[in-house]
Amino acid sequence: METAIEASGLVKSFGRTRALDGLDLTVRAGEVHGFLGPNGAGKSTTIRVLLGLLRASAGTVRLLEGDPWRDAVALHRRLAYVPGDVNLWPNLTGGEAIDLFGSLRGGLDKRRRSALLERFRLDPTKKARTYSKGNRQKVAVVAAFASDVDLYILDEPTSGLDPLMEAVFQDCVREVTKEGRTVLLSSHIFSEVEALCDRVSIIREGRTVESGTLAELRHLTRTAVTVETVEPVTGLADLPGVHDLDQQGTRVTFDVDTADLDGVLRHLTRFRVRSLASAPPSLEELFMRHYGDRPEDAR
Amino acid sequence: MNAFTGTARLTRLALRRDRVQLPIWILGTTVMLSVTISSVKSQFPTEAERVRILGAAVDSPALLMLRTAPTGVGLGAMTTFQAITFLAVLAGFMSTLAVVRHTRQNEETGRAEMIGATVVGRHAALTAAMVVTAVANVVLAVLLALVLIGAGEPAAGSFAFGASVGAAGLAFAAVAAVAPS
Repeated sequence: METAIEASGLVKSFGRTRALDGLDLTVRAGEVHGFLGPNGAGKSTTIRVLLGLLRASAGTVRLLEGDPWRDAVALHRRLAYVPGDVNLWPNLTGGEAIDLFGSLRGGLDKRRRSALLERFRLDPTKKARTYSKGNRQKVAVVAAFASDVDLYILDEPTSGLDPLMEAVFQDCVREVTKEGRTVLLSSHIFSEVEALCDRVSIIREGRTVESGTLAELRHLTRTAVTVETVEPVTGLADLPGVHDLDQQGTRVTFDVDTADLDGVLRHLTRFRVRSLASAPPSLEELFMRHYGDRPEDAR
Repeated sequence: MNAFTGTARLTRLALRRDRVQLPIWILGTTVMLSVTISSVKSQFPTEAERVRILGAAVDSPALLMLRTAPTGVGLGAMTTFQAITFLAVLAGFMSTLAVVRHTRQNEETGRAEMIGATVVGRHAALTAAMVVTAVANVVLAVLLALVLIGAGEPAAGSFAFGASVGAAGLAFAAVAAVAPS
C-alpha cells in the first residue's frame, strides 16, 4: 500500500453551499500529513467524507484501498479518529469512555492504555462531567493511540492541551509513525505541524491551494531579506521578484520570491554588503498568504 | 448485517447511561397508577357516587376528549377512565426523551461522529435507541398490569391496560425517531 488516502476532485454540496469544490488530497502510507486551512475551508467536511459519515457529491476517494462510504464498517477497524471538540457522556467515567471506544473499534491494547493514561496524566476513574476541555480531549487521544490501527485521523486533536501534554502528544505521533502507521493531522498550531509533518496540504474554500513538503512549499514563496550595504542600494525595485521594498539609507528590507533570490543577491553585492539576514517564510507566513486572497491568485 | 454492526454495544451504552433515569420514569408512572387506584377507592367508595361523577363527566365533551369514554363503574373501569390517558402521556414523554437522548443529543454534541468513526453500522445508533425505549415500555406495561392485578383486577384486562400505555409510548418513540429535529 503506497497511498493511505487518495482523494481527487472531491465535491460536497449542502443545498447551494459548496463545502468542497474539487478538493485533492494525497496522503502516502507511513507519513504524517498536515491538513491546513482557515475556518470553514472544508477540513472537517473532508474528514467526514473520509470517515464515511458523509457521501461526496462528486469526485473519487480511496482510503486504505477501500471506499470510505461503502466499506465504512470494515475500514473503521483500521483507523482511529480524534475530533477537535470531544464531548463525552457526563455520567460515564473517562476510563469507561476509553473502553467504550476501544470495544467499538474492536479492542484496544491494555498495556498501551495504562501507559498512555500515565503519560497524559489522566485519572480514568473520574466522571466525564468533572473533566476540563483538555481532559476530555485526552480521553479521545488515549483511546485513539491505544488502538492498533493503520491510520489516525486527527482533527485539531490538541485543542485545549497544555504545552506539556502537547509535547507528549507529539511523542505519541512520532512513535506511531515509527511503526509505519499513517497520520492525517488537521491543525491550527503551526509549530506542531512544522515539528511533525512530512508533507502538508493547504486548502481554502473547498479546494487544495498548496500541497507538498514544507521545503517545497517554502520554495514557492518569498524570503524576507534585511541587508546593510556600504553604498546605498539602487535599482532593486526594478528587479523581478522583489516586493515590499523599504529603504532607509544603507539599510534595505524586502521580500523576494525564492526563485529570484540568486539574481537579487548578485545585484546586492555590487553595493558591498556589510550585513545580511534572511529568513525563510514560516509555515504561518505560508498559510497567511492563502488567507484573504482568492485561491487562483494566491501565489 | 453490516448496517447493524455494533448495535449490541450501543444498546449496552444506552442502558448504562439511563440506569437511573429510565427506572425513575417507569417506577414514577407505576406509582401514579397505584395512587389513582387508592384515590378511586377512597373518593368514590359507593356505586352511587361513581354513577354521579361519571354522569357529570359524560356531559363534558372536553373531558371525554381528553380521557376517552367511561366503560363502567367497577374499580378497573373507573381507574382506566381517571388515569389511562395521563399515563399514556407520561409513557410518551419518557419515550420521546429517551429516543432523543440516544440519537439527536449525540448528534448535537458530536458524540455521534466519534461513534460513527468506529466499527458501527449506519443503523446501529437508531436501532439501539429504539431497543432501549422498547424495553422500557415493555417493563412499564408489565409493572402497570401487575399493579392492577394486585388490586384484584382480572389479568387479561390488566395486561390490556399496561399494553395500551406501552403502545402509546412506542408510538411516541417512533415519531421521535423519524421526526426532523
